[in-house]
Amino acid sequence: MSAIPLSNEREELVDKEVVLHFLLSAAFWLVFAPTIGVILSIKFNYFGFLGSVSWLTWGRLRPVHVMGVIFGAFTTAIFGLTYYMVPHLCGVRMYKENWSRVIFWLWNLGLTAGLVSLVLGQNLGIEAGEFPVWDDILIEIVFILITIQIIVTIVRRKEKKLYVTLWYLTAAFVWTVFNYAFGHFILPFSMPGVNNAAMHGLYIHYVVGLWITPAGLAVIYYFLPLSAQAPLYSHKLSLIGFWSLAFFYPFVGTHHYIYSPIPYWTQTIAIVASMMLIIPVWTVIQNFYGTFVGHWQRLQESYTAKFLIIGAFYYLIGCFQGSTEALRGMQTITHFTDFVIAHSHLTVFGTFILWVTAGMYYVIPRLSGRELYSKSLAQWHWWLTVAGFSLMASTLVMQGLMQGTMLEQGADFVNSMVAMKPYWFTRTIAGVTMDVGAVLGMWNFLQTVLQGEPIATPALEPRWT
Amino acid sequence: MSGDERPSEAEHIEHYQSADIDERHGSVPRWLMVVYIALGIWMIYYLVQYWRP
Repeated sequence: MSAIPLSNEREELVDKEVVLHFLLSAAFWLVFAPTIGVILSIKFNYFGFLGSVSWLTWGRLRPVHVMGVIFGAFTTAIFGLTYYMVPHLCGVRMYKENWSRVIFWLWNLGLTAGLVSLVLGQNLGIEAGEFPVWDDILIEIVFILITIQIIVTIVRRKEKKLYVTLWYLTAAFVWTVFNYAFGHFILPFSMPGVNNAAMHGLYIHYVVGLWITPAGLAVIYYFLPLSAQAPLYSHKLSLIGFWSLAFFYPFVGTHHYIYSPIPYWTQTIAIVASMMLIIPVWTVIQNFYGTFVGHWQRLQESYTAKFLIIGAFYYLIGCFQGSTEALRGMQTITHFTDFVIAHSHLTVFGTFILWVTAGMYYVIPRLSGRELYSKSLAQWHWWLTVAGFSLMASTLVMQGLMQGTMLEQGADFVNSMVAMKPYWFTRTIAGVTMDVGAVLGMWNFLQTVLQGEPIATPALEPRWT
Repeated sequence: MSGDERPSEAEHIEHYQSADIDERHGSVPRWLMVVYIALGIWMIYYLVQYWRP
């Protein structure tokens, strides 16, 4: 077994150009997809807004927002961070590095083509699986190629042990290779009726639970000890968190269809599995905050740490909300209300988008060899994100509970919608605030690469990351 | 730290050199054990009680 690289050689394990290309394209999608969300939120306040052009109508733009955030913003960043984390954790360069450059273009081409197709009205009709089939072939090829790269790199590794990040990443990619094929090549063309709905619950929650969640956890497990400059709190908790997620998550999908014609006992299993997800969530939260005990001063010094820790807080809130809203009693109030939208935003944006953003704060200065361009921009990015998102999440929760309670008490549906108007307006303000923060953050990343101050040697560690 | 865990084992630190990450072997806090047990009991109760309408 050959020697493991020392610290100053570590970054040489990585194809810097590929990682930076992925992360900067992710920066574009991180602005683009939420901006579509802001446009959609304006439509709640002004129903005719952009309504006269077919490709800017609600039905066309909503899937662009959802697919853009999941696959554009989150997944593109995960790919970039994967090409950074895997070589570091294995002590060898990525298998078939030349594939990565082709994958970069295939991926962004596939994304762009898919999103344009949605705007033009070509939609597969499966929520979170809406790209047309010809485009899905491209996306599936990308997932397969990166999965092969990861697995072979792990097989060739020099590090003896597999760190928890590698478990989550490998699992996320392998699960998604199968789930993406299932959701796009099988589900839309078979199993009609209620069975299709049940299987859709399976697919969409595999996207959330077996792609976004494990890939996001891979990121925080990697960058948390580095940003805290402390050992990870517990390997044992990592094991419990991973296996309990893998065991319970596959069963939760039917909780979208409580009180539906889907058999009662399958709904019960979904409810139980949803509540049991408290185990992996509280376990990893203990692991994250336990790692930071005694190292809280790093929150003053590191934007990676700031975004990770606030993301972990939203993770705790969003996941507890998700577990409890699966209960039948909660469903009677929250179903078809913005309470559900609060949950999806708390988890996907509040948690996973913020975690990959943290990873970008760590990686971009190191790989570009430049200091973060502006601490001030980073500070604005942080505060606008936290202020805007906290306002959005709390507004959505409150309005969801309020509308659900009104309907439960027999209020007229139209009256319940009228009562939502101030909340929808607040949501737009919150969304604009978050979006301005994202623009400043992404601009900061771009300027770091283009004209950041070179990192002074021999320190080698960039400031504020 | 849980009572049955030997301190030396729980405090053992694994170093991943090429990533420069340290990982404590660690243990499961008692409060989490209580959560696991409580949820396990609730799961059995809910499955039995609500298997049928």
